[in-house]
Amino acid sequence: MNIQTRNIRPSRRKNRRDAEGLSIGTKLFVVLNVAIALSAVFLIANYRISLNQNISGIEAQSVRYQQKIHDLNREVEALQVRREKLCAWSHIRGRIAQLGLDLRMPDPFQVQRLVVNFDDRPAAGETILDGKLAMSQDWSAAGNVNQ
Amino acid sequence: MLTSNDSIRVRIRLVAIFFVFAFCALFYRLYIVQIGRHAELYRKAKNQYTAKKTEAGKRGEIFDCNGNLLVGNVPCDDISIDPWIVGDATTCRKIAAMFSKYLKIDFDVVYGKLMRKTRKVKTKEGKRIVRRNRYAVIAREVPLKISSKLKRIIKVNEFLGIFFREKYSRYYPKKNLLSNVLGFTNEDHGEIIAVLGVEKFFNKQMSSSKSVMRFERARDGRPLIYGAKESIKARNGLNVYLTISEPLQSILEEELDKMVAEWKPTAAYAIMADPKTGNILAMAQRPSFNPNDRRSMDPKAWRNRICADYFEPGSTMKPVAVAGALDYGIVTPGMKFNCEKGRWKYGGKILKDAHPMDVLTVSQILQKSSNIGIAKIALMMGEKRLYRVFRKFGFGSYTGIPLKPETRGALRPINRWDTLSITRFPIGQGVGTSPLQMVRAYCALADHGRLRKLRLVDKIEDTQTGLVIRNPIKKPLQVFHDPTTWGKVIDMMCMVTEAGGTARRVAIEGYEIAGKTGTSQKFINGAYSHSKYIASFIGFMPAHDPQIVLLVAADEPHGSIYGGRVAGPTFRNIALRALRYLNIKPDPELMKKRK
Repeated sequence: MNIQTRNIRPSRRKNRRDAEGLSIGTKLFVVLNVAIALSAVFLIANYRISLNQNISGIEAQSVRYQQKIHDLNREVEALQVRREKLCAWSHIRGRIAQLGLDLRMPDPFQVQRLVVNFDDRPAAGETILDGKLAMSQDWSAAGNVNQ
Repeated sequence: MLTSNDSIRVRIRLVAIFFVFAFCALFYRLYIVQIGRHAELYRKAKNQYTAKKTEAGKRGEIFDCNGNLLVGNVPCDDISIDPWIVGDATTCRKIAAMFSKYLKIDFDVVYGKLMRKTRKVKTKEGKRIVRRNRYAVIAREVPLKISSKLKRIIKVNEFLGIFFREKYSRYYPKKNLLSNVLGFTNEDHGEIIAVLGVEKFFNKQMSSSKSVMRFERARDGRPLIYGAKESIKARNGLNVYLTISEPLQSILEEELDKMVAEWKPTAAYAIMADPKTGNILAMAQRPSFNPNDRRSMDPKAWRNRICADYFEPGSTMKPVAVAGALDYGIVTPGMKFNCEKGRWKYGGKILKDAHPMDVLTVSQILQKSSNIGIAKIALMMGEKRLYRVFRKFGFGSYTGIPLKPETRGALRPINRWDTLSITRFPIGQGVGTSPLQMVRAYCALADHGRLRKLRLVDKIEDTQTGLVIRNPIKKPLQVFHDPTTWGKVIDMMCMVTEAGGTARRVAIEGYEIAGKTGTSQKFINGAYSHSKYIASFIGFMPAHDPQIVLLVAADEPHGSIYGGRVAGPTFRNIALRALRYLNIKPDPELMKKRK
């Protein structure tokens, strides 16, 4: 007894009968639905892939920028140390000698800080000489010339 | 006999049995792989897509009180190669030419390293085997400028197997400036070892930690966004801010160099401090060294003599003894003493003065630096009081400065004093003090008898968290009981730099300078030398409102031995420039008086 032959035949016949019973419209509708579903899956998958690609591209770009920032930071650090080296008095002294700058010691009275009282009223602890702004070489005598 | 159906049945069974066995085998294999060897295989797989990146943090830097960098870190690179993947002889020649051109190293040496593809290794069993050579160092601490150039060339030429390891090298931008105080570090197998100075004292605070980052990587090595990440952040070392002022330090060192050039001493020291806070503004010694140039560094010059060594201070000790006697009310500035015409026998030994003097007041004793006069004042004080005065002024104790080793000097306890001690200690013989101790004692004299701890470090700063740890100015100890003592001592000390004093060369027009010269014999092999001296001058200015205390000392000067002649002019030059820098104006009344 061939069980397989006996079991398959009725089912094939039945399927064929079912298919033959469907109208073209229904068939098209089913095909269309399947196509829409497949294309939706396709689109979602593609969108996801392109999104991933973008993420990956941006990520690579950000890594490049991070590296650039890191390199620039290192360069800044090197320049800061170089600036400090150039600010050292031993270096400045050498340059002064090299350029032949005729520098001299400052006179203690060379720099004077003036406090101007616009309202002509003396501030606390200050006095005004002759009611006018006093500019004296004798700094200790000048009331509103602060040293 | 088998029918065709039987035959099919047998075949089906055989196939089914085969499949059952095959599936069993497959399941067994699956079990082994998924469960049995899970940990091992998972680790292997993870290693393939996981990368580990380590980066060292920055060691803390050292700044002066105004934020000028004294010790910093310079970014640089270590360059290494993998000879196995650099390529053939032609490529190796190109790479070697590039390295020798930019790194100024011998072509043959580099080429040899590049072409050494294998190396012999001794196994544990003692066998010699040949292995692939995967690592060779080309250059260490290559400056950033050069390494950037090299990176560009390597990228353009698409050279493989060349690696750059980013790091920092310790750099001292001011070279010799303050080198003995700052100290230096060495590197041993990538570990930083602090050798001396501030670098060593604050090594724990200034040390950095390494960052470790484990991440799932893409093919090109960059981290995956969605991948797992583990990271330990690097901690930078803390920055140390000193009380030192770089401009004042530069002035001090420049003038000290001039003194060394003129008098050629074996060693020289200078310290400048602010008496009102105890801040060390500048301190220098000669010989010193340039920490950037390790080849020229002489280990003898490393030692910080300023705090590790002590010397007999000589006459610079006299104001301390006189101040004590005045404070106890034992003497007054006008009290007269017979100075025995320069020779006086006490305790079986003769005490001499540099110049014979007759009867002098206490003020004149200090002005003319009479040993006999001071010895007689000390005898009136008695041993106990004299010892107490020395201790009160901080002799025999640490100054509080964060440098090691620091000496406490040599001040014998009172029970070990002999008959002569009372006449020798107040003139600075038989007692040992470090230059720092002398500066601290003079800070107390300058600041109304307030004895402070000296400060070298102002604050420590964590740049990552913004945390600032300040070193507070501690409350001083009051040395004088009598508030009038200070004025009396200052007036006496001012006379030293005036006409008739031992340090007329120190005087600066428009400023009152209080100070004392010191000319001490060195104690060598159990006897005082008659050829080796320490010439020193310590003082402060302006005398009645002191802003700076300054010590200048020359150890074994040649040409002269006197503190007033050797150290005095240097003191004057430093003081004058420092006063100009600090914008401390001269007193017009004093200028008029002089005119």
